Parts: sequence; C-alpha cells; structure tokens
Amino acid sequence: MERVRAILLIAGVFFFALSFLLMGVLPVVTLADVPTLTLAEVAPRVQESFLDLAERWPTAFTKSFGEPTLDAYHAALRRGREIYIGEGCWHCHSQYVRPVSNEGLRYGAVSVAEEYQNEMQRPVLFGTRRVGPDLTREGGKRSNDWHAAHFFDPKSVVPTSVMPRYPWLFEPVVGNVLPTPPNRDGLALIAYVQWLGTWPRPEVEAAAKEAP
Amino acid sequence: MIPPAAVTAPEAGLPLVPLVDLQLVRRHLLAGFLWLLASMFAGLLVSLQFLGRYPIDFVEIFSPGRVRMVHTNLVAFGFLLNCLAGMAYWVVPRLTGLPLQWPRFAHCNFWLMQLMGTALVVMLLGGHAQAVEWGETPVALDPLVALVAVGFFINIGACMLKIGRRPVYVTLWYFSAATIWTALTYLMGNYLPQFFVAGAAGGAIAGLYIHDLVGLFVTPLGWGAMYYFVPLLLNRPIYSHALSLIGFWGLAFFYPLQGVHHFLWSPIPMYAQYGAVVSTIAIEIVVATVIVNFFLTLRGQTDQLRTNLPLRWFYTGMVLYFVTCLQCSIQVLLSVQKIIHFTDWVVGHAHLVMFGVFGFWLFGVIIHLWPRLTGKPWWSHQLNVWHYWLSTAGLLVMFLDLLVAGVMQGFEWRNMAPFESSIIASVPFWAVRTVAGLVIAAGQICLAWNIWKSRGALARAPMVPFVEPAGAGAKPA
Amino acid sequence: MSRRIMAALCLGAAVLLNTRCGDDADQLFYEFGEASGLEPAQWRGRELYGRYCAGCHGERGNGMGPAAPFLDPKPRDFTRGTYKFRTTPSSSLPTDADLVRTIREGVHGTSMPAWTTLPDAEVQAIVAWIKTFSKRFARERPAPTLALPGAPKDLDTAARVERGQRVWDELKCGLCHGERGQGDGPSAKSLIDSEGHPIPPFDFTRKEPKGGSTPEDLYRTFMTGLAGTPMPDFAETTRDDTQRWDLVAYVRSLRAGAAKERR
Repeated sequence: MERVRAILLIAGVFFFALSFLLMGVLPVVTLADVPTLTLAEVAPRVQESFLDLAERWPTAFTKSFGEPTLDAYHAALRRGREIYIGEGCWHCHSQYVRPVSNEGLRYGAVSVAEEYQNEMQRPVLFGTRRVGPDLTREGGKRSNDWHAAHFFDPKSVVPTSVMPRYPWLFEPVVGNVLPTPPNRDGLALIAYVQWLGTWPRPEVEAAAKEAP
Repeated sequence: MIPPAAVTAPEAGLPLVPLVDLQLVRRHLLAGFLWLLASMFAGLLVSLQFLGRYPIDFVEIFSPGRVRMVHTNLVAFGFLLNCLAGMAYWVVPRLTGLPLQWPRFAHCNFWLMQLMGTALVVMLLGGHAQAVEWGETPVALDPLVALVAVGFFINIGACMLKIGRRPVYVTLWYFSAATIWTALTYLMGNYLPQFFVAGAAGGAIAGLYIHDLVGLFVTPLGWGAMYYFVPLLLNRPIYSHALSLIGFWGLAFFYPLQGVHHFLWSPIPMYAQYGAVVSTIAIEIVVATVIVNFFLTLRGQTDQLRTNLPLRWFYTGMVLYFVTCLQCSIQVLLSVQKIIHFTDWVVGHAHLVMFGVFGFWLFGVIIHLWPRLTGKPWWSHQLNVWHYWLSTAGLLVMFLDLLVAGVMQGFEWRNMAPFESSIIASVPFWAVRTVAGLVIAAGQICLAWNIWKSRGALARAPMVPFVEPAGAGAKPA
Repeated sequence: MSRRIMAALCLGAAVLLNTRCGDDADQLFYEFGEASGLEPAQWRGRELYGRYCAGCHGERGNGMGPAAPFLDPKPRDFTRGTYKFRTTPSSSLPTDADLVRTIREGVHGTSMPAWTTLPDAEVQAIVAWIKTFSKRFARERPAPTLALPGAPKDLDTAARVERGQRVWDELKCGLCHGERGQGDGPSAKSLIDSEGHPIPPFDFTRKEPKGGSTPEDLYRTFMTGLAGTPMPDFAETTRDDTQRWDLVAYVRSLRAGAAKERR
C-alpha cells in the first residue's frame, strides 16, 4: 500500500480503469443500441431557412456556397459547428433541456439521449453554463435576419444582452453602410443555429406527447 | 531539509551532482506564475464583457469567447502544470535522494511546455478549439500537451521508480499515482469524445475528463506538496499515518468516479448520475479525515499561522479545500442542481477550487522556495503579506458574490422570468466580480514586484554523488 | 476581520442594487413615475419597451431601431397606427387583445419572435406604451371586432379544397399570389406597401403565414385584410362562411401539397 509500484498498479491503473468502466464504458454500452447518425441523417433535407439565406443574400451566398444544395447545406452545418466551438458559443449557451426548473416550458421538449447520438454531437455540446439561453431547440424560433442583426451586434436587438458582437462574420462594412451581408462563416453559423433541434426526432415528439 | 543520501560521504570516484536542479525549479515556478498573470488578465478582460465594457470586442482575435478559453486553459496548462512541475522537481529528488536522471531532457521539456502554452494561446485566439471543456486545446495541439505532461512525469517517475520496493513517503504515493492518472485522463478526455463516442455517453466521458483533470492531476500533486511542506515547516511529522492512508486510498477510489456530476439531469443514463452523486458525497468523508489529520498536526502550534506565511497559505488553501468539498457534496444533490446548475454558482465554485485551493498552495510553495532558489531573503515581507490578504479577500468576495448570483439566476429561471431579467439582475453581481478580480490581480502584482526585486543568482544546491539506483539508500523523510 | 467587512459590504451593495426587480410595479410608479405624466401601465411599459422592443422598433417606435437595417421585412412603424393583424375591420385600429396576440405569438417568417415568457402584466404594459406612439389611439376607438367562428370539422376534406379552388379563382387571388399560391402572380412584382417599400405577395406553398397558420388565423386574415399592404379584406366580397372556409381549406392544401411534392 505504500510502495510506488503497488500504487501505480492499484490506484493508478486499476481504480482509474474501474471508474472508466463504470462511468464511461457502461453508459456507452447502455446507449449502444441507439445508432449513431451521420450528418446526412440528421439533416436529410435542405431547410427552408437555408433557402431563405440564399434568397436574402444571394451574392454572399453564391460566393460562399454556390447553389443551396444538400451538399452545400451539410458543408454549412459543419463549418457552423466549428465556429460555434471556436468562438466559444457553447460556454455560454447550453444544449440540453433538463426535466426540471420549468425548462420544458421555457425551451421546449426535454432532451433525450437519442437526439445526441449523432455526428454533430461528437464531442457533445451540452455546455455547463447559461449566460444566454439554451439553444437545444433554437432552430426556426427566429428568422435569419434576426440572427444576422444579432450576430452583428447583439445589443442592437436585445439592449440588455451581454453577448459579444461578431462583426468578422460579416462582409467588411464599407463607409458605415448597413446592413452588410454575412460572409461564409456568418452564413454557416446562422444555418447551424437554425438547424439546432429541427431534425426529425420521433423519440422527442413521443416524449413530448407523454408529458402533461 | 537534506535527505540522508546527501549527507553520507560520497563514494570514491563518483561524480558529485546537485541534488536539486535549482535552475529548473526556478524556471518552472516563474513561468507558471507568469502564465497565471496572463490568465488573470484574460479573466479580467472577459469579466468586462459582462458589464458591457469590453474594450476591444471589435478585434477578432480578442473576442471574449476566445479569451475565456485562454483564461481557463492557461490556468490548467500554463499556471498549474508549470508550478506543480517546479514544485515536484524540488520535492521528488529530496524525498528519493536521487537527482533528476536526465536533466537535459527536463530542461527541454520546460521549453516545450512554454512552446505549448504559447501555441495554445495563439490557436485559441485564432478561433480553433475543441469542444471538450477545460481541454479546448485544438486537436492538433493535444499530442504536444500530452507530450510535455508525460515528459514531466517521466522525469519524476524515473526517480520514484528507482527507489525499488521499499515503502515511500505519502507525498510520493500521490505523485506516483498522478503520473499515470494524468496521462490516462488526458488521452481519454481529448480523444474518445472527439473521435469515437458521440452524444450522451461521450458527455459522460467528457465529464470524467473535466473532473479527473482536477481530481487526478492537480489534486494529488497539490496534496503531495501539502504532505511534504507542512510537516517540514512545522518541524514535526504528520499526526497520523493511518489517516494519511485513508485519505490517499479514499481519494484514489472515489475521485475518479465523480465526473458525471457535471451533467446532472442530462440525458446521460441515470445510474451513472446517481453513482457520481453518491461518490461525490462519499469523498467528503475522506476529505474530512485528511483535514483532521492536518489540523491535528498543527495542534499547539497555531500561532505559526500568524508568523509563518507559507504555512498560512497552506492552511488557508486547506480550509478552502474543505469548503469546496463541503459545497460539492451539497451542490451535487439533484434537488440543489435544479436551481444552481448552469448558473454563476458553478463559476464561483471553480474559482474557489482552482485559485483558492491549488493557487494558494502553490503561492505557499513559491513564497517558501523562492529565497532558497535565489539564496537571499525576500526583498519585502510586507509585499508578500499584502499579496496574501489581497488574494484571499478578493477570492472570498468573488466566491460569495457568484454564489449568491447563482442562486438568484437559478430562481429567476425557474420562476419563468424573461431571460433578460436574469441578466439585468446579474449585472451588479458581475460588477462585484470584476472588482474582486481586480483586487486579486493587485495582489499578484505585489508578488510579481517582489519576485522582480528579489531576483538574484542561483543558490547552491546540496551535492550528492550520482549513483546507480541500487545504491541510493534514501529512507523516506 | 477586514475580509469579512469587505465581503459584507460588497454583498450588501449587490443586494441593494437588486432590490428594484422584486418591487411592486405600482409602488415604483408612485415613487418615481408620477412626475412623468404617464399612466402607470405606460410608465412601466416604457421601460419594458426599451428592454425588449426598442432594438428593432426604435426608441421612438418608428421602426428604425439599431437592428432595423438588417431586418427584412422591416419592423413595424408604430407611429402610423396601422396594424396588419386585427380582429377589427380593415380601416380600424386593432384591439389591445390583437396587439397582445401578436406579441405572444410573434410573426412567422419575420424577425418578430414569440414572447412566450413575458408575464401578462408586462405585455399589457408594453401594449399601453406602444399605443402612445400613434395619435390615432387617442382620437379613435377600435371598431367592434368581427365575429370569428371556429373552423368547421370537415375543413380539410377534398370537396372543400376543390370548392375553395373555385373561390380562389373567383376572387382572383392568383393575380398577386399566383395560380398555385406561389406568390408569382402577374402583378406580384409591382406591389408596394403603404410606406412605399416593395412587398412580394405571400408564397403559400413554402412559408407559414405571418398572421398565424391555424384555420382561424387564415380566416381572420381574409375577413380583416392586412392593413398597410395591398391585401384587402374579403368580408364583403365573399357570400358566406362556407365560401370563406372553403378558401381556407384550399390555402391550407397548398402548403401541404407542396411539402408532399418536395419529399
């Protein structure tokens, strides 16, 4: 119990392995029968909001993604997620609705394990702090132009907001003329946020029906 | 101070080497402290965003979201990693009686560590991150982080392994376990959720990672330092060896089981959540035994807390450790989680642990070791006292402020108040937080100034014969 | 000791600063708001409007808030006193309940979100403040609301949809909205709203109607029109409720049909 090798073996390896088995591998096994979906499965169709982006800012959109095809949509979602992570969005916006504290009323249906079992949640974007609201079911709640205005300067839309502004997600402003269209990254982030929680989730809908 | 090996007569023909590489220790402590200053600056900057006063939010690379990641990651991989390494490079040779086996490798590792820290800042500010909390180091940088951490552990591990089959002192239990734990934790947390496990199960592993990085990397090295420095400063042995044993093995068993408590009420299977809650409460009992052990060690000498600054740092940190763990065992209850999860309560808790406990312990180490590295006393004792009081006062204000803010936010949300209203109500708390942060920063400037004024040539380390491991006859101190 | 005092001071300050949110709104009005010459609800509404609405609609309610340049359709200009979504006849002011409904449900496909978590009293207060922007509210009263019956049970039957298509042709809806409701009628390009901005006719196949997508919402829009836009009301040009519900059935079928085709 006081020898280096025993400690390395029992505490270092065995206890760690035990915890990893109980707390890491066991949940994996529990969820093993839930298939891990690919992006194509969780975004099977080009969304209305993505088409709207293409119509709203045709020049910027064509330059960034060409035609609003399914491939372009998937590319936008992937890039949008990268920005969501790189800008640290997930440090202030959680992505899980708990079954407590009236969160179901505020944010929509309570999260279930099935909806996280996909490529876009690897690593999972639960988040641990809500400086801003939860975004699990943000998709479709607001319009693209709202998001554009909000990313450009959150305080302009929500005067009390403490969210930083992201002017670099937009084409450079020329001579103080607004609005300036979102650039590739901006379009991608809007597409990603509009996608959140919108893909078909029979389990969630079933769970929502069961709830009073 | 000097272990038996150093005072025995050198065997004929063996070259004499310094027992402790003072240059290495000093570099690590100094680098760690500088990273801490950088991290605090980042933290202060981010706190201004919450007041709507962020001065440079139009500059892409200083976006508050990115600077926040710099703040947290520099604490782990800049400040803690460096200072803990410096501390261990001092302690391990003294406990084993063996100098570092590959001093050049250790120095290379030092520079690699600083390269890693710099690359970390550059990449995070450049907008590249990985969605693993407290491991936001971009995937491309993960191997380097693992490399320098493992490099550090190989250096101290070589000394510890060479001791052979004899029992070793408590500090080395913690250190040796930490070597394996840190490597496993880092690899688990940065690779499994990224490439292999999606969704809720990946969340469970990410939770393990967040918690193990505290519990299996920082905590054992921190407690190792406590078991080494406190008896030394008090000039008496630890009160109870049995309690030390309980403390170590209890920690080793329960700590790794707790990770999932970061995601309670989440879609992670409930048994894992219940298990995490139970083991979190269980460890509070273990922690209590350790605290009791240390207070009994202090018995009859409490006056030293007034006169001996490093000792005061150690015991302040330890009391705050107890507060942290007590808080843990309360906030982990599922009913408490309903309110406080996602709020500033958690932020307050994190600051208490990382700064109030491990930061404080490392300040104790720095205050104690610096004169022994430079060979001359502190330029100003008074500045160090100011450093102590400013840091402690600032931290306590920040902690209590965020605690109250968290409860308020939790109830605002539960009561279905519009989200904006919770923000408006939080702003005064955030203002207090910034002020508290400024107080803490002022304290660090005191120490920085003192370190600068106390700079000097290296002290002379005790020389030991460089012997093969079989001949190293050091008993545990 | 000093750290305790400091902590207590800071906490005290934080608590004091926060007491305002818990206070009773009326009491605050009598303490601070009476001098403003406003009604209590208006006074309260002014602050809430600044917090929730001014970003888009502007501090003065003219629809020119700091976010407005990005938005299309543009935010409502409250100074004109014309509102699209009403239960009152075309030229009339809306009722308070109409404004509350729009705030609560939002306007689909535009940047107006649904304000679901605002307390009722706050929504009422905001409405009270919004009404101060236009002099119309001081001069006129809203006309009596139109009777809006519930949807018939057999709404989505094929027979109704077929009859509805005939009503669609009869009323010449296709002139603007296009033959199949895609918003591409012959006059689609030339339409402008009362502020002179071009306004494309609604595409029923792709989007959810702004005024709400329930049958009752659609019915209401036919009966009251969308003031400030080229969309007239059809209260008098339709014969009876059967005809109107037929039209509702047809319009609903447009979106469902298009969705099926896309799949």
